[in-house]
Amino acid sequence: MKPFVYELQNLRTLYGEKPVLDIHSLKVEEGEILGLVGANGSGKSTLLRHLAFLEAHQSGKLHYCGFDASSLPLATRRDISILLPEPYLLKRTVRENILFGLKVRGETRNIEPRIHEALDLVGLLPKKFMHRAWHELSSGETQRVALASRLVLHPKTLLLDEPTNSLDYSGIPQFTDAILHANREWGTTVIIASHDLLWLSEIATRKIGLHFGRLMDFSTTNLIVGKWREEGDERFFDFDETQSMSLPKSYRIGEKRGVAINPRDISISLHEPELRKEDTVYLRGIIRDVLHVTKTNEISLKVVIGNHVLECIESFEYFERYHFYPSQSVTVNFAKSAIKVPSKEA
Amino acid sequence: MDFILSGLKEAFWLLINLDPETISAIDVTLKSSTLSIIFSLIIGLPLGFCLGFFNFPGRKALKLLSDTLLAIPTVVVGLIVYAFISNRGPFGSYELLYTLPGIVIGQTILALPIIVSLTATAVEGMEKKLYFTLASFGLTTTQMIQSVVWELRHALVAVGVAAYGRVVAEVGIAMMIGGNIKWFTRTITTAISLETNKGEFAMGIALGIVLISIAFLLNFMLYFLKKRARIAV
Repeated sequence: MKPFVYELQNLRTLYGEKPVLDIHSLKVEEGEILGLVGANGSGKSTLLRHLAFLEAHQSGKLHYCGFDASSLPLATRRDISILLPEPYLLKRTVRENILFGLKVRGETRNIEPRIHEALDLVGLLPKKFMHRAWHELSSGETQRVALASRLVLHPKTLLLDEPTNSLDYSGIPQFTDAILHANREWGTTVIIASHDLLWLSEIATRKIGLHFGRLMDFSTTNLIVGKWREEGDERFFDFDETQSMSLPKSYRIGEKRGVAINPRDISISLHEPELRKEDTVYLRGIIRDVLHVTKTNEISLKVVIGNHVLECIESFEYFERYHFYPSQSVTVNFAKSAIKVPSKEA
Repeated sequence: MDFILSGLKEAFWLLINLDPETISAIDVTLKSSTLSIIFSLIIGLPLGFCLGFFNFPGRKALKLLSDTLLAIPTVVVGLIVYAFISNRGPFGSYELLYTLPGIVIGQTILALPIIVSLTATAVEGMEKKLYFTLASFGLTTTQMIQSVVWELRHALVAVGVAAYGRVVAEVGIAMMIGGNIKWFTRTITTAISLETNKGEFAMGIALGIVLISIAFLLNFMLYFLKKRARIAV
């Protein structure tokens, strides 16, 4: 097993009377890409700022590589880089922005190649952007320069808060590649908070859900967070304009609550069933990924439904019979009883 | 009406021919206000920075005090400094009354609350994002202070320019401490006041034109600095 980079236990922080973080236990392994999921105000950004030691917790344990905030040496603290949402560039040129972290660390070797590498990684032409001033950049370019000025440091831990916010559709793959490059080439542990669940499922090796500052107490593979609308005695969650699932009000899903569905509780078929059971949810979607889970000899299928991705796990025999492939149109179904709602005291 | 027009004509003549008396007043003004701004920046910038950046007991009271002193009348500063440096005062032996260094001391005291208060406001108003961004790079305290000062450079220069504008145009301190002595402590403002009383409008207008030009130049600089500081956000 790889060593743990972060170890959190009974971590608690209050803003006034209100607990904003209350994490019973969380461990982050070296080299993993951890996705943080949760609604606005669930504590994702606060957790990241704690992990970057920008904000202090009030009680409990937060260890980074075995150090707590008070014993953390500056050199180890500098192994952590955080990209804040709507990043702020220093009032300098692009080159000076990227150089800043290196200068602070007193690094003078291979400066130019490293700046070039960082700009290349985020998809900005060094020749074109190197000498631009901070105010001559679009918001997407600002975001890229901000990431470049973290990547240039080859951080051991990279914390990203809503990194795809100001990027247009074409900018995201480049960003993904840059993050994966850091993870694979330099062994960087990456923790990402994002609303972009589709993108997060693509990049993260593990996802955890936050809910009012607490970790959700169940698997978050199929964590669905978003607004449930009320209609009669039921609450509806819309996957897209035409497809939704509903639960009776007795389930007590608050507007901000997430629900999760075990991937093994979801069935997948090529055609819509002729007979629909009342207590089952049927959704049409498109297969995006087909993966063989070697450990258990199962097939993991990721199905895009509207703006959401559901993972289904089927036996290999089932896959041999139907030969699912990406871009295929399928129907997934699951019993309403498979929808797990977190308990308030989680 | 004629006396104003002929005064204006004569004023230009004085300026074009670099009339020694006019130039002397301009020279004294620029010297005293520049020196006093330099001293007040040296003392006031670190004080203002600490007041805006660090949290300590009594900080709010100090900020309130420096904000109140922003509006201190120049004659009050003149009175206080006069009391201290006149022959009967504690610093009488230094013989600073009616000298340029005396004016510089008074104007430094005048500019100090402006520098302290506006610097503290600029640092306090620093975006949280900037602070977090800098902190996220793992800076030492010294590196942090250097970086914050550099990031706020446009705002801080604007503070200096604003204070310069107040000092260059003040009349109370220059009159009370300087004594309006021709060739020595006569500044633009004290000269305008005296010449007008004497009915010599030409020199008053000439010096007025210079003063307005300086004010215009300062405001022009302020405008660009503020614009620059805004773009930066």
